Amino acid sequence: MIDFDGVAKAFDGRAVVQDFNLHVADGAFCALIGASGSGKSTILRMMNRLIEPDAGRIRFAGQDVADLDPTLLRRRMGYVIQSAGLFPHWSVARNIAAVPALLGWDRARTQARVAELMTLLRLDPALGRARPHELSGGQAQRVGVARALAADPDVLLMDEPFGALDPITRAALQAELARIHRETRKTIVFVTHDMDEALQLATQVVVLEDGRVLQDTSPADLLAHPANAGVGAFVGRLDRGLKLLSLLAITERLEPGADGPEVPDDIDCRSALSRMIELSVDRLTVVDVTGQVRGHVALAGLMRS
Amino acid sequence: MIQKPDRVFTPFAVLVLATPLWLSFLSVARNRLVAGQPMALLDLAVAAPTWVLVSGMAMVLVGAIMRGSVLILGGGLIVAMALIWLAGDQATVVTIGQPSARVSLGAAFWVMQAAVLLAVAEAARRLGSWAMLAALLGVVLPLTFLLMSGRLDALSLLREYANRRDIFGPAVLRHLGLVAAAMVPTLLIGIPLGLVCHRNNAVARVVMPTLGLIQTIPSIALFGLLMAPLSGLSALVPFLGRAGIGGIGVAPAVIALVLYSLLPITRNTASGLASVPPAVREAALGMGMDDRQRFWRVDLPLAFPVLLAGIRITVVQAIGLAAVAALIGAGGLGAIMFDGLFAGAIDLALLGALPVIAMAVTVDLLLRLAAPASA
Repeated sequence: MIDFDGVAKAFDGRAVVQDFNLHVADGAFCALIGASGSGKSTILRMMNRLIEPDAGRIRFAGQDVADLDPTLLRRRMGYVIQSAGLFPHWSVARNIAAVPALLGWDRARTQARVAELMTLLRLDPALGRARPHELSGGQAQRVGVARALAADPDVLLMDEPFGALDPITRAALQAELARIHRETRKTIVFVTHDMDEALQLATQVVVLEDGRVLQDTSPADLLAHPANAGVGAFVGRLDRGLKLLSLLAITERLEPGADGPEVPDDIDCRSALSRMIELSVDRLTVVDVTGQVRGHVALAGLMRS
Repeated sequence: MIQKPDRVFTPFAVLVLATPLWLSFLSVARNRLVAGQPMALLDLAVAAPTWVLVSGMAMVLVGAIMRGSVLILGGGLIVAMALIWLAGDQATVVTIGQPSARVSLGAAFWVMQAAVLLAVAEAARRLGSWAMLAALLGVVLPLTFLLMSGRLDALSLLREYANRRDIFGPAVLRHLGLVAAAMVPTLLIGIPLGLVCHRNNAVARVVMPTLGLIQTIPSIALFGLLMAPLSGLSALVPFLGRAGIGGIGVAPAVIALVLYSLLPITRNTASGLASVPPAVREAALGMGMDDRQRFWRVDLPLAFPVLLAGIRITVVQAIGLAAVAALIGAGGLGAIMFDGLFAGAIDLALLGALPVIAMAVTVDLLLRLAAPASA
């Protein structure tokens, strides 16, 4: 869906992105992660031509973005920024309908789409008429995501979208985004400096340092085989095992038969381990929502990597 | 529970009550040329408006103690109108059998009027925009009625009006015309200039200090500075002279007004645009709005309240400055005002000055009401 080929960018003679190559597959959830100044936002903003590269080629759906009209290109890419950037003089509904309005959709189609998105983002329909200043930070960012999705874009570009939210609101919106990715299978490129967020959401994690790629792989592979000490430091040395467990659904370590206290089947292995420690047991019975026993997990099974 | 009296209204109320005790309310002269004798409020011999005045004052006093803005607003308007009514009736009594006697408004009248109207304005501000409109109507409608009824005709101010009836109306129109003629080029130049200043720092660094410098030139000096080049121009290009452009008259007045008006418009346009949050700008760009869409849908609506404040400041300033333009023959209410000043006829000067004040206050209020409620 998006390909970078030898892209470089310098600001005032300082190289921010150097010889950068990237392939984001259709339907992937790609997290660009790195410290401040690693070039991750610059890379994202080159995708929708808010920044032009000094060298190299960027292709979007097979076409060189340099050949596309920037405004038309941007209307095909949803864009979410950290502070939401809602238009303060417009209602929530009109904010969500911003891109459909640019594309000249008729009233009925726009209204239906706004209603659909408010449902998807779990926004109270009564908020449609509210002004952005009346919203909480979490609500504002939900509206920001809804606005980015409004015209059904091919990709969603997100620049630290949850960076300014409190931990509880952030966790809720991360779960929301994971669900939206599952349901819509949209290609998402996501900039963050939070490794836990990247590991939890992404299918592809690109670790950046000084405008170069340190490692570009799946979350599990990143944890299991960090390419060098720099990546290792970034993913965390002491709790890497726990992070690996958190990527594993409990159903992947299921053994037949009931044994031990019950836990639901939609948790990850890290939570299961936590539960074992809490209850001082080494076996847990896994049940589905109806209470039906699906099997059990054992401590030895969780240890097996 | 007993509240402390309001800190803003109490001094006003005290001023309204105490002033008539030590300043003269009216000044009565045998004719237009001699100095008048003071007449105190307590010496007046008319009954009906006095009772209205006393009840209005009571309302203001109670309002100040109880912190009731509605009482202040209503009582204040009653006091303001009763003072005028009282002056008119007293003037009528004094001038019976003495047609050349002149009754002018004294210091106590003006101090009380100012105090009470300031209190009304503050009360209306606290009550919100509907109260501001009500206050404006509460002054305009009774005043119009008093003027039309002829009760005020004996006052020296209205005697001056009667003498100049035929030039007063055209002077008002000329005054408004000068302001309007200056505002059109001001907006056409100032708003684009503000836009350029906002987008280009180098331009702003030249334009803003230049406009600021113009503001520091005293208005009479600026009119004088324009006389030489414009009269030279009209001598050089006879067509311009025939079109009315010359060293004196309307042309230099309008040009000077435009020069003064450019600073507030340009500055407020630029600072209004600068007040658009960077995140909103970034979102508009990232969403795929082109330059024109960003300007009309995002930048302009968000900058509009600040821009409108700039227009308000500019128009009010131009209404005042246009009075000075009478000195270079541009006419308007300033001509009546300066006639009065040079002849030592204060009531004639007031006949020119009071409508200028009324215009400025009305425009200020209407443009404030037109401003969208801040989000």
